[in-house]
Amino acid sequence: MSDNIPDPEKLRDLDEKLREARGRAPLPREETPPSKLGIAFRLSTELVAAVVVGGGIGWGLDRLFGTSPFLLIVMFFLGVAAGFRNVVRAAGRLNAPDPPKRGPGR
Amino acid sequence: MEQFEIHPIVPLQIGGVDISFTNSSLWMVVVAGSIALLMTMAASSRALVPGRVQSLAEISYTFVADMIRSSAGTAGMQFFPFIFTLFMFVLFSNIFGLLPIQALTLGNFHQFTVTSHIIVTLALALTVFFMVILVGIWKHGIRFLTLFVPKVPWVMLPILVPIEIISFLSRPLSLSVRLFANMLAGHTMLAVFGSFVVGLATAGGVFSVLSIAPMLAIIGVTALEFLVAFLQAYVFAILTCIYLNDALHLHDH
Repeated sequence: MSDNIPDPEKLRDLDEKLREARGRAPLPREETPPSKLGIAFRLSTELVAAVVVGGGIGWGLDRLFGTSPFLLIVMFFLGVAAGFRNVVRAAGRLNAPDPPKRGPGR
Repeated sequence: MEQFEIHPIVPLQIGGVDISFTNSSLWMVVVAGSIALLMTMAASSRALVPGRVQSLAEISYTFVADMIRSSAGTAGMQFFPFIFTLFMFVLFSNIFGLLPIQALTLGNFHQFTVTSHIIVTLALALTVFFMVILVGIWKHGIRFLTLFVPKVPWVMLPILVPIEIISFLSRPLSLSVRLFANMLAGHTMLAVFGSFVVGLATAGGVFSVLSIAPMLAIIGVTALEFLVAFLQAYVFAILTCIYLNDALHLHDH
């Protein structure tokens, strides 16, 4: 640390250069644009995961209570609904990636 | 396929449980070691005008810090060490899997993508999952459970609460499967195109000339894989932030 005490003169110089450089090219401060493939993959996993989890819970409960296949059917459809909910949520996030401005629609 | 095979380097058994040090473990050590090395090297100079290594470390710091602030607010910054570690581990695992180490003929030591195995990504995702639950309970106590109660007329609740719970439980699965499947698919794609090259080249005649086409495709796919490697690490980290944000701020956002 001690061996590189900044020279104020040099610092001012650097500051000048920095300002100049910034003026020349506005910094591209945007978020990494998610690729189309990435979006498609994200949404599909959201959907599939919820269906699998819903179906899995239904299957497990059926085995537990011996009510096969009713809970599996019910939970499967709930899983599908949860999947849609996930997808809508994820898509909403992609459309409005700025959380403070995220409206009630989420 | 060979690039996904796990073989023990130091066979080890404790109480009938196989805990051998495998090539997968070795690569995890390599990944963690490289990150630690990079960060210590970067922090040691502490120059006002950063050099290359320091710039790299500073860029990754700012990147992750910005990501947390924008998706989980300043309250999320207390989890910076966790998310930064997670991001760097996934990123380095993904990228190290793309290094052509086998081409350098280091004997049996060939490249391996840690994140192309679901058990690894699932372990990471479950860590995130349980941490979100613990943070939620720590911050809000029993009120954390209102995360599963959306603000709707009460008639809808019997249907919507199970849906919310399933949606919550599906998070570790979608988080892990996404990363694992992307890595697996990328490496499989490279292997398939590679076999096309060999197959066409040895077919003789006009086919040998055609083998240049899958070769060009491999170049493109490799470039794409670098993008995917970064993108998936980013997605994994930002979803962790979003889940933490849910636990930190329940409904008030």
